[in-house]
Amino acid sequence: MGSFIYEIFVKGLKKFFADTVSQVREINRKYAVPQIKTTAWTHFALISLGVYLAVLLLLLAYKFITLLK
Amino acid sequence: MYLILAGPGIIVMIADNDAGGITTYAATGAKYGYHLLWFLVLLGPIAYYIQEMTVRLGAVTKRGHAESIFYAFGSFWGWFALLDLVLIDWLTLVTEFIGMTAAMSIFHVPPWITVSVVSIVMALMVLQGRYWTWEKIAMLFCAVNLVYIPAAFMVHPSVPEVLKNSIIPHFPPGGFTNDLFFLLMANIGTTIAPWMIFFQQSAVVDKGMGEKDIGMGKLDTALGSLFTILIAVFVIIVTGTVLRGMNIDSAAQAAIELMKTNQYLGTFLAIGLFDAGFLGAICISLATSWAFGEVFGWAHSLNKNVKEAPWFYAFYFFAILTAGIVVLIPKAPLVLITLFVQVVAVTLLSATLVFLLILLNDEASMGKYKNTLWQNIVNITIVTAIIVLSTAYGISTLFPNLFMGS
Repeated sequence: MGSFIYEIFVKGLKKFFADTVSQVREINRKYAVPQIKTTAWTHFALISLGVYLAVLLLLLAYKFITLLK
Repeated sequence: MYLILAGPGIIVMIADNDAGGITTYAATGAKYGYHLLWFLVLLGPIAYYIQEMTVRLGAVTKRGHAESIFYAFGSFWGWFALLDLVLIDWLTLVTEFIGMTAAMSIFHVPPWITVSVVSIVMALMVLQGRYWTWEKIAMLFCAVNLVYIPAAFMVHPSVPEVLKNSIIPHFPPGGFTNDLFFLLMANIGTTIAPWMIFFQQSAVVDKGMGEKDIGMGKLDTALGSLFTILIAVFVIIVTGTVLRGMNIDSAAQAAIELMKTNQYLGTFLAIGLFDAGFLGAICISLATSWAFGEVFGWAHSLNKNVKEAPWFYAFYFFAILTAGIVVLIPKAPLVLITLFVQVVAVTLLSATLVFLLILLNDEASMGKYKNTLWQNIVNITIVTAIIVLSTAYGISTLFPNLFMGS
């Protein structure tokens, strides 16, 4: 029974995660290079977005830390 | 011709009035009467302008929104958008189940029965194997959402007062307070949501709409935005007439209060709340499955059966089952989840809107369907305003006393 569970679940899970990781790697390779034409405006918008999201993330982290205290 | 192509626009717009949306409108009416009707009327064209872009993008590129982001901006932004979408969709799905169980508990139906029956119906809807059939069933549920219209007539509102408050922008007596700000932001948040952008673009692709169908897609979206605002306005009329001056925390509470004055009225609101949660749930769970299918390259169409698209359906069922189970857990932090949805949604909404604008200005993929100067002026204004206001909303959720004292 124990080996049956091992075969079905543990091996199955291992295979699932291994497949997922290889799929993610494949996706990363496929989309490694952004296809949009990078104008000054696009560049500015993406950098601003990154900064904006980083600030939001910091605020969320601050809220969590103060809540824990 | 329109009846064949109608669907994604109407469904996404009416599903936009989900359980959280109905709660927001009920609270808005109860707190401020008809005073904020003009604001809702203003949100109609805004929702149209945002969603119309997804019709063009999907019809021209034949890619769903998640795939479009990966393709155009690379895997870093792609994963950010996809994982953020999964998180927020799942949390929103939980809130839809909260709304549905609350609505059915008014009719003394235990939550486990509601969750089980809803899950079975949602499964049957997708397992019949055709996008077209799914869409028409969804449109039937959209029609049920119109239950608020007769409800509004039952309360005999003052028509001149309704019209005046719908046309003339003004703040309610008491001026601009923290509570008012919070409700205004909640109304924006419920009218323009990230999942709507992903859903409609994927639905346009799954339906097989092409460039020649863009006109009809726009008409579909325009009609949808008209209906979504009509439903919002009628909910506000109901609670603004009967429950004016009350603090309402949930639509279910509003339904119970309405039952005390008129049983049919409360019943209509409860049915509408259940239907709203159901529509939200079927669209949100599909938006996530489509997005994952697009990126991972799995078969991801309602036109394929379970054998042909196993991962697409597995994702769909996994989302429904886990969200349903969370609602059934005793003492689950449901209020915290609802608040968290609002904050996380801000991060994805801002990013998605910026991506949308950039994608719609990419001549290489959009050709003659890229944004015109006028569309850019309107859309950039709308997107900037939404980002600023939704950020303020998200921050005020985290730090309630940051902006104002009252």
